[in-house]
Amino acid sequence: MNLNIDAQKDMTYDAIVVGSGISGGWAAKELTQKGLKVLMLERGRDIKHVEGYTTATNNPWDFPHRGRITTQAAEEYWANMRTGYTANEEWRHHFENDSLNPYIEKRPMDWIRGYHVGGRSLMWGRQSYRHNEEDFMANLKEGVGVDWPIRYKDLAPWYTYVEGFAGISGSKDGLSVLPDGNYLPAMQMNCVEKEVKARVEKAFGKRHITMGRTAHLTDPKAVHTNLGRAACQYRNQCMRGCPFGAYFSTQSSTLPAAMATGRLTLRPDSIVSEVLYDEKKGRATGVRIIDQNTLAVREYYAKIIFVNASAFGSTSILMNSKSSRFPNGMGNDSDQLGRNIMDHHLGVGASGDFDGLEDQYYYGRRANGVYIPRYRNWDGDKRDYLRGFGYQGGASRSGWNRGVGVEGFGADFKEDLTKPGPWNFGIGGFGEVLPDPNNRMTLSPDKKDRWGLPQIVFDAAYGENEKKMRKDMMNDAVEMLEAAGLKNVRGYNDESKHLGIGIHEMGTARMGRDPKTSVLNANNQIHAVKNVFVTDGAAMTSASCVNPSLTYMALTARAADFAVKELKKQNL
Amino acid sequence: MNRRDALLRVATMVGATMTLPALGSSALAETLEASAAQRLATGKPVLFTADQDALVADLADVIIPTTSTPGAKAAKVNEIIDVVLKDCYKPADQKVFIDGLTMTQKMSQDSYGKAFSQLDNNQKIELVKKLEADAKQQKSAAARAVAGQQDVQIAAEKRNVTPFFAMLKDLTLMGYFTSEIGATQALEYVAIPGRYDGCVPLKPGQKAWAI
Repeated sequence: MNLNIDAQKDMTYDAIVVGSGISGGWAAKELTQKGLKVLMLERGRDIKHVEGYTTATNNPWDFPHRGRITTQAAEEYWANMRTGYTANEEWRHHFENDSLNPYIEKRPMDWIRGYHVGGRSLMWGRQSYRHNEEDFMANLKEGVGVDWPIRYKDLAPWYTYVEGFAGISGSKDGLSVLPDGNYLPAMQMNCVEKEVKARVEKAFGKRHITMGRTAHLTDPKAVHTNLGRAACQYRNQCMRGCPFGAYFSTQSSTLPAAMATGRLTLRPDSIVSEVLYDEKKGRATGVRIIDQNTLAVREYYAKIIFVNASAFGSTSILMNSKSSRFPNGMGNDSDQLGRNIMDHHLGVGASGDFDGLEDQYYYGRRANGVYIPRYRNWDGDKRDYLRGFGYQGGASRSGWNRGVGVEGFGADFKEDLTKPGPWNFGIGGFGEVLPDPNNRMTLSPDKKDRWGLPQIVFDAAYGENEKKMRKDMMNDAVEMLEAAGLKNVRGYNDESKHLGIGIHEMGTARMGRDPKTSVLNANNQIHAVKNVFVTDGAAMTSASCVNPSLTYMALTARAADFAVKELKKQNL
Repeated sequence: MNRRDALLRVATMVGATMTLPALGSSALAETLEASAAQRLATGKPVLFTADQDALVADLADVIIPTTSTPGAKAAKVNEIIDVVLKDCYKPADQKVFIDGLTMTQKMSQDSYGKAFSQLDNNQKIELVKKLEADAKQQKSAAARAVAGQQDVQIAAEKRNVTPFFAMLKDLTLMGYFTSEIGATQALEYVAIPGRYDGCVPLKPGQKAWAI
């Protein structure tokens, strides 16, 4: 037998999944469980579940700088510094050194990355909400961007499916704006949150405060414990990696499930430079990778390819996949590849002091808060901007930190700081960003990264709709907190941040009905390359105002189901 | 701290006076994470002289003295201040701090004719009150200068300088309450709570959670 054919056989799988984050992990799980032999490629290093979480069980005094950021790290992690928390010593090793991985800002972009097995599923915010029916129709009704090629009913069963496996805790509230799902028991509100909820709901009939819906196991089922996952221990150190597997991540959930099939091969350190295209067959044949350590270039082949490298990562791979059929990047017949960058805008809200309930406290550290679903431009309300926003927030009693900003020192000062401080309550908005074709990324014609791949150039900014919305986001927050009887209410609207600060990058390879105006179809296939699927944030046609990861999970499970059915019909 | 908490915390800090130094360029060549290990291995300060180190320990113990629980000196707060100041602060801020230590010793000599460590408790407290008053005066002068008042002459680059005492107090509180003694004795530390109870009546003498 010919050795080259043997070698090619070793490099051939039924499916290749590019990326191992939230959506890549789901693709690998679904495809392997449906019988496919899958290769999952991850550009970064491996991080093993539990044993790889090097700071997970550290006490505060175990950190050399007690969590503070060294001047050297501050310089190197320049994009992460903009978030105010991702560069902290506790979990900085889960984020990327921006100086080593530069990008170009024609207009500023806050791009926060996680290049390792599990991607940002290790550090995500875990808030898990469904898009509602209107979210899938608003573009069409308002003439914004293009229409989603799917509706809520198309995704609803897949939401139910992924919620069950991931383990989402939450309450069913019966609100059309925030569709209920398949939930584990909700976490508890504390005393002040309950009080503020009652007061706000009394003062504003159509505004609701519910418990945050989050991907934490509050009451694990067999589907979770069989994978070695345990209930949330309320440590609130999630971004370090959870040794209990209590929150959904690739490592805790989809990876062990995929590995259990015996059909998954995981290859870390493998940077996909392009998707290979066969001009004669009119389909993708595989991918080319660069080993991030050895720089060795290899090719892998498969019948179908799932591109799940995160919105900007996936799009940069497609842009770099040039052929005579696709001189401007794979699937870019519409010139929409790289356009319509979306995120959620935040850094706006209010906080205040709560008088009373000084005899009440709480036990445990709940990595979750309360949620106020969208109420603007909803149910008869009409504003001078489109879409809306939700708030995340919560109440707590201040700790020793309150001593820093006030006068005093000595014995009495110290003793006072050892007691629970006054209650405060705060909410911060998460607003929908509209798709705008002028908000775009391109590949630099001359600037390369360490592996010789083109750097990404960002040219995007918030629009007038977002700026108008932010006024409501601050004023409404102040109004609600004052109506709830909070004192010294302080509104804020920090406009110094940029797209990306929500770490919810979306768009750049949107789904749509028409190949002339979109990159992907209703099944997340590239219109013109049917065996390539993109099911991460790049696929999003609009952003909604809710956290997006649950929707990526549902889109991925749905597309994987479709892909395997098509394979069986020999359509791919 | 989860992302929501972090975002809220950052948001509420907007516009407030930051006690952290402004971030800028640094040309430190060595691996910064090594400072703590170096201090531990050699027993010697990494930034301070031995005298400065001892003075920081004394000053921190005035801010957080031994009460029903051990104070800052017992928690070796000077050691973490030494490491954090070296690795996390710009040279200009380090200079403000070191100059503040020199000034403190001079004030001690001028007022009492002896070193800070030789003062009795009341004298130490009086001197630290002066440091606190100086810092307050410095901040309000800077604020007035920023507001454009003509009678205040402060160079623009000095208006954002965190006064010595503000740095010292911030570092002392951080160093103490995140230390093992501070977190587990002055405060209550539970590594793995195991559950969340939203409403718990406060017990007599209940301490604040360390984290």
